[in-house]
Amino acid sequence: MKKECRLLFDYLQDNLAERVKSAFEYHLEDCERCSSEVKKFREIEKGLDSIPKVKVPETFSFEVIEKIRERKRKIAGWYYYFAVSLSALVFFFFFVGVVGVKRVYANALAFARTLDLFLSSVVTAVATISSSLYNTFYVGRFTSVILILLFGVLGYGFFRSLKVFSKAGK
Amino acid sequence: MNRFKFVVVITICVLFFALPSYASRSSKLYIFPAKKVVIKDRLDKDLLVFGNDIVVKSEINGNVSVIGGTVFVEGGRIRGNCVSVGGGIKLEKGTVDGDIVAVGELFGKNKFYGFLLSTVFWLFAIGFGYFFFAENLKENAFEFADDFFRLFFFGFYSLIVLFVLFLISFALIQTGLGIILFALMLFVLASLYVFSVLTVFYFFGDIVFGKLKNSIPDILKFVIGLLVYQLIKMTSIFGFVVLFVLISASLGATLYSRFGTFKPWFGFQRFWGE
Repeated sequence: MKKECRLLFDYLQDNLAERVKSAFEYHLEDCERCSSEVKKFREIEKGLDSIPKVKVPETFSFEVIEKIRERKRKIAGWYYYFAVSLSALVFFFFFVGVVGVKRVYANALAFARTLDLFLSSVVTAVATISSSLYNTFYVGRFTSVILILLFGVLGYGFFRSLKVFSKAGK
Repeated sequence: MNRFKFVVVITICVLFFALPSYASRSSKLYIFPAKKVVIKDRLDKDLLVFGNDIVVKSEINGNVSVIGGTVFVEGGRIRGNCVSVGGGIKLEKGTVDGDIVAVGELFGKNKFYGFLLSTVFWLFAIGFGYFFFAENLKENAFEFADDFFRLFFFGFYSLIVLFVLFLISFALIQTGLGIILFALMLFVLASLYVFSVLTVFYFFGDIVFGKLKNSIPDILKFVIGLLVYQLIKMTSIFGFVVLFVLISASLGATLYSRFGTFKPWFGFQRFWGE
């Protein structure tokens, strides 16, 4: 390694005085190692320049922090619901242990029967009310077709109006 | 497959499924009548009453259904089903040949159970909204407060259209295909309603805590909002009007901000060829 080779770093940063610089360039023609280093550096520089520059909005870091916080909160939510369901399960087994399996079974059966009754009554209510409603709309044999077409047209129109409203500025 | 073909295929399928037509009786509809509906003559019709009681004193050859009221059968006879939602059924020397169903009688009679149920439900909803959609709700609440009047009119219009769509899908349950439409409408309406009401909660909480300089945890804002909501709900007609206006505007905001995301609906643009 020659004495001049130490100037390589300063040369690459363009920190040398004019005279020293020309002397170093003269040295470059002799020294294979330095010239290959310079070549490599210029290539890297070129590559870096060719990467498009991105302008970061001012709120960028704030938004990133917010996103991280949001993610953390979501994870906390899953943990929370997991804890709630686990404690409910523990409580349930404790309850079974205290009351006895037979009584819990009998109660569960009664509850299931009630639920069945409730659901069937809800189904009856829905069927009755909807048939009455259908009859009020009744205009002929093709009522159902007309209603479905009306539903489609109305729904599509509503969706279009949503889009128009969202695009219109304030 | 382009958009036109897609629409045509869907339409043909839907019409094919809708064709099995339904044998109909005629039917009579009462929407929020000023006083009790009293039936004295024999009728060959279904009766459907929204928002008041009905007294049956004669024979009715059809179903009688009431939403938000009580059915009194006083010496009459109903040959079909008798259904009451949110009210009761009183039989005094009357008979019903079909099924007798009263759903939600307790909530009609005693307001306290309704209060309890709604509080528990909203507390669950607040937990869900806070943990998973907090940013969206905040964004939506900001939008809601920013452009209230325009959003109110838009929300009101949306409410009417959605209600009509819901009614049509409800009637279409008779054709089978309507069950899918009804489930879809129920899902859309429920998600819109829950999101809008949570936005109103956050808005209330922000009003209450807005003057404090220390930052308050968001979950507390939601809970205080729920408290204010329940208090307003207790004042009968005034509360109803205020909450109706607020929730309509909030619905408009939800639709405008697309659930607080500002992303395009469904993100289907490429598929739809736009």
